[in-house]
Order: sequence, then structure tokens, then C-alpha cells
Amino acid sequence: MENNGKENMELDEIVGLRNHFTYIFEEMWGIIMVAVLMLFSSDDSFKLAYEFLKSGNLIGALMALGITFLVLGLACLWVFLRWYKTTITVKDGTVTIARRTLNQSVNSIAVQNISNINMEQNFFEIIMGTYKLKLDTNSLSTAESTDVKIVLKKRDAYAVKNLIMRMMKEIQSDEQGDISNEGVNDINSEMQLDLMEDVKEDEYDVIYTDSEIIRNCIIDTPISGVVWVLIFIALAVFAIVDGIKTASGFFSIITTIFIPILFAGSMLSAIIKDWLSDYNFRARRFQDKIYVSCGLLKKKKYAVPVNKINALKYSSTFIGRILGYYSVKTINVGGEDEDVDGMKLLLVGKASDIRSKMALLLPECQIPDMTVCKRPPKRTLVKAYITALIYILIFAVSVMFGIVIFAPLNKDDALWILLASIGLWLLVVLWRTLFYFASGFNTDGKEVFISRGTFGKELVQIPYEKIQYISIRQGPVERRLKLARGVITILASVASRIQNIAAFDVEDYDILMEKFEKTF
Amino acid sequence: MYEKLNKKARSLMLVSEIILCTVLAFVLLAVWLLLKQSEGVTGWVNLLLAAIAVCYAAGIITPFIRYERYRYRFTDEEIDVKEGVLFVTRNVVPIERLHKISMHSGPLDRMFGLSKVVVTTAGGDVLIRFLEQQKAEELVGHLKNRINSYAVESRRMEAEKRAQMQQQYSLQKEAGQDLKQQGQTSQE
Repeated sequence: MENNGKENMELDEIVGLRNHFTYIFEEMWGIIMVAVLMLFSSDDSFKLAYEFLKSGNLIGALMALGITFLVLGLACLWVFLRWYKTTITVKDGTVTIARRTLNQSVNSIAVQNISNINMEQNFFEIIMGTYKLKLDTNSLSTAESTDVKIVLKKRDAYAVKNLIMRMMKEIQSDEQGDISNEGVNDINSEMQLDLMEDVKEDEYDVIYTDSEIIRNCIIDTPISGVVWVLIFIALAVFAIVDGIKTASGFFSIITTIFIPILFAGSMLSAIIKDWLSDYNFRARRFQDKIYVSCGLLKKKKYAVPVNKINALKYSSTFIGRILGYYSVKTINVGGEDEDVDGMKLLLVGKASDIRSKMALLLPECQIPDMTVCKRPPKRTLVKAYITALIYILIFAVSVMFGIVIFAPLNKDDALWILLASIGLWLLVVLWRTLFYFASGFNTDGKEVFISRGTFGKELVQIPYEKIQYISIRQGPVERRLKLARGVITILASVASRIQNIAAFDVEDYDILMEKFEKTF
Repeated sequence: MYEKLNKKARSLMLVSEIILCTVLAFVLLAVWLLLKQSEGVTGWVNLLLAAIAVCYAAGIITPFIRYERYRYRFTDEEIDVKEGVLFVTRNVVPIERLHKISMHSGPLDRMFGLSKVVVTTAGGDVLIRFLEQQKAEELVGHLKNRINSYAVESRRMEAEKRAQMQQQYSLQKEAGQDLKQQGQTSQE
């Protein structure tokens, strides 16, 4: 069974294909890092090895470093065996990943359960000329992660992708049976052409210019991220200046600035990664899928099946909100690891621009205004303030009780707790007020629109047919004020499965329920 | 019309609450005893005993409120359940969205002849508690039939939709080729 697989590449099945050998190195980065850390953290073994070397005892030196080498060697062997013993077979409408290591596993996925096949490359893979093939299934249990990842040479990756897609189309045609044989055969040849080749550069419906991508980088960067980076840099600078003033040692200054620099660095790298991921962004609609390609260091290519789109999300950052720009994402099961919250469909643009581009990519969808939602009643704000006050009072009383169990509460402590509680309440009031102005909800006979945010704002458009179920909640304060909150549950990854609606009049929810009930 | 639960459900709620309160009381009592033996602890620690009393009082009162507020409605199209004590939640699940249905009963449930029914949609689960065994079985049987008929129907509809889309695509393609040919002829 375990052959190279290449011989069968042009046939209707692929048997016993292995990951590209560079998979070993991709898997080993972590192990190498741990080994290096072990080596450098163990001064004694180094000293001992050095002593042995000085006395000309090479074997002794190797023994001194033995544990590290042993661990490293075993880890290498483990990764190598994992690579060698893992085979991929695409045959009879099933993708089988067989791992015959100590813990044997055979993972079979029926092709009709695959919802997405995406290809991507990180920097290492670009250099090595390999692709990472990601298969997502319709399973909700794995909605937040990609189900299968395979690293293959470009040619093999395309062969596997095309074979699986061909099988998917064949199954779809079989399901249709005699409902419409006419047209199916005609179209299959056209589909074959599309499946066997990648989308050509000039075939994309939406292509962003460099200036549009730069504009996207500026507008789509969340201001809170930038503010945090600046705060951490300021803290680091302050620590350096303070260290110089107090004549602290070099290592003392380095230790102090390590944490703020680490945080600033990780936040900055996330922002830059986001910028680079939008480079060369282009999208194309072909039949029932939208094909997207983007990325500089890590090239991403993904296909979004239109019938798997469960909602659309229009997002604008604080700057975008002021300037009237927003971007579009789809909410669907599966997707990239980092895009579990939605796959990007369009970069930021003005409403007219978004509408014209969406007409090319998703003509069946009516694009709403960002102001389509009506604002919650003012009682919602009152309720938010009262609820915050109740929770903060409970918190303050608990803190005071915690103190008085061990010692009598003095006036200063009580004053501090009171001041802290008031400060906290004012912060919550500010946050809830911003939230109120971004919140909204509306519905027509076909779709529900939900908006939310604080500085930035996002609008989610959910067709009724994609709603799994609706929950309406009422707390004691809300009952008094004749308000209710709603939760719409859709099929999506964890981050997007629950769509919360702010507190609205009970009558608004009656309308929602009435319209929802009419759709089934 | 919404239906009310059987009175056995109230008894089950009460027994479960009392068990829960007793466990909590033991924990609070252990904390009280530990603190009481420590030095520097004030008399306020006795408030923990009051907390135990409050727990029991709440444990006895809440089943009555919960029972009164619990309402459910099963129609051919939807499952509608209202429940809660302080925070009341109403879940509306269309039957056509159901993927799976299961029935569970723990030792306490069995003692009172009650069962839980879990309905699973692609977005998550909704739990219908305190149903009489017979009623739960009837519901599960009914829902199973409905789910199967919906599945067959939705597959047929999806296939029809796809066929329509493909026919439309062929027509568009032909129209595009005609236009292209016309353009070439006029250029010639």
C-alpha cells in the first residue's frame, strides 16, 4: 500500500503519499529551541565538558553533554518516524491519514464532509517551494481548528487538492441524480478546467492596488493596539532613563525593560503580521465559491463556498468609523487558524466601493448600510449603569468583608475601597456609553442585523435560514424596564457562534421571533 | 399553548437544591472552622454561618419559583422552552435545524420518573429538563421522524437549487460566448 504516490498522481486516486521531507524541519523548530535552551541553561555540563576537553577526553565531554544530545536525538527520531510512518491516501471518496507510529491512528474523512480546501505558505515554505494544504470539515467539534494539515511539494499539493475537489463535485452530481442531468455534464468539463489550474492573475474580480493596501493597513489597524504598543515603549524608555539616573547596572536595566519590550514587540509583530497578510489581496467569484489570495511572507489561498457562509461581518476600526471605511469578512465553519473569527473577503473601502465589489463576489447578497440598525432604547443605558452599580457594590462589600474577617476595617481602607469602586463604576459607565452608541439591531423578513463595538464598530448580517436557534434573556432589572437581551446561535467557530444582541424592548424581540417563526 | 411541568419536577428540583446546599454548607462550615481556629480573626467570621442559612433558604424557595416559571411548547415546527429563577431564558429551536436528539436520566431523575432531552443543532445544544419519562420518549420518537423527513427534504431541495444554479451558469456562459463571437465578427 505504501508507495510513493507520484505514479498515481494523474489517476483517480492517490495512495500512500507522504508529507514533504521539509515537514520534519517544520515540526522540529520547537524541539531545537528547547534543546538549545537546555544546553545553555546547564552551565555545569558545559564546564564539565570543557574540563574533559582540556584534558583531552572527548568521550567524557560528550558524556557530559549527553543528556541534551540524547533528548535531541530521541526527539529527532520521533519526528522522523512520525513523518515516515504518516501516509495520505485519497481514494474512493475518502481522505485517509494513516499514522502507524507507536500510537497508531487512521483518520478517515469522507470527501462530502469537507467544506474547505485551502493552501498556504509560510516564509520557510516559500523558500522550499512547498505548500501547506488544509482541509476543513463541516464538523462543529473541530470548527475552531483546521482538521487536517499536509505539507506537500507544489505539484503534489495541487494534485491532491484537485483530486479532492473533483471527488466533491462528482458526489454533488451523483446526489442530483436525475433531477438535472442536462447541464451537469456540460458544466463538469468547465469545472474540470477550473479545478486543474489555479486562478490566473487576470481572472480575479477584485484586485487591490498597492496604495489601497497601504490605506487598508493604516485604517484597519486597531487604535487600541497602537496605544498599548506606545504605552509599553514609554514604560521601557522610562525604565532606561530611571536606570541611568539611579546608576543601576546594565543587567538590572535589561531585566526591568524585558517585559514591556516583550509585550510591545509581540503586539507590534501582530500588527505588522496583519499588514503583511493583506499584501496582494485579490478575490474572485467562480460558480459557488469565492477564491481569495493574499499575503507576503505567508501566502494564503482560500476558497469560501458560498452556501457555507453563515453570516457576513462588516468591521470598521475607530479611524475607519470616522472616515466611513469598513472591511468585509465571512463567518463560516473552518478557515485559517488565525482567521477563526471570519475569513476576509474585502479590504477597507467606502460604502459605494464595498457595494460594487460585493456585487462581483456575492451578487446574491443585499449589502446593508452601516447605519441599518436602530439604537437600543435609552432605558438600556439606565439598566447598564444600575447593573454595573449592583455588581461593583457586591464586589466592594465582599472586599470589605474579606478584610474585616481578619482585622477591624479602618477609615482609610474603607475610603480607598469606596474611591476605587466609584472609579471602577465611572469606567464601566464610560465603556457602556460607548457600547450603547455602537449597539444596534434590526430585522427585515429575510435577515437580522446586529451591530456592536465601543471605539470601533462591527455589523453582522445573518440570514434567518442560517440561524440555528434564538435565546431571549431577561434579568430582574430588565423585567422592570420591559427590556430583554437576545442571543442568536449560528454554525461558526467559537468566536462567532454566539451573536449577542443588546437589550431592546420586549416588543422588538416579539417581532424577531415572529419573523423567525415564519421562516420555518 | 405553553405547558407546565408535572409536580414531580418540583420535588426533584427541591431535592437537588437541598443536596447542592448541603455540599455548599459543608464547604462553608469547613472554612468557618478553619478561620475560627486562626488567630487574629474577628467575630465577623460568624457571618459565614448566616451565609449557610441564606443558602438553605434560597435552596428551598428557588425550586418553587423555577417550577412556576418553567414553561415549554412543542409544535410541529419548533421547540420553545422558558426557564430560570432570577434570569429567565427562552430558547426557540426550529425542528428543521435539529441534527441530533438524545435522552438522559440520572439517578435522581429516575427516582422521580423524569428525563432530560438534549436537542442538538449545528450551533449547539438546548436542554429540556424535568420531562416525564413517557413524554420524553414520545418527544424523542416524534422528533426523530421529523428530523429524518426534514433531512430528506433538505437534500432534495439543495440538489434542485444546485441544478438550477448550474443551468443558469451554462446559460450565462453560452450568452457570454455569443457576445464574444458577435464582437469578433463585428471586428472582422
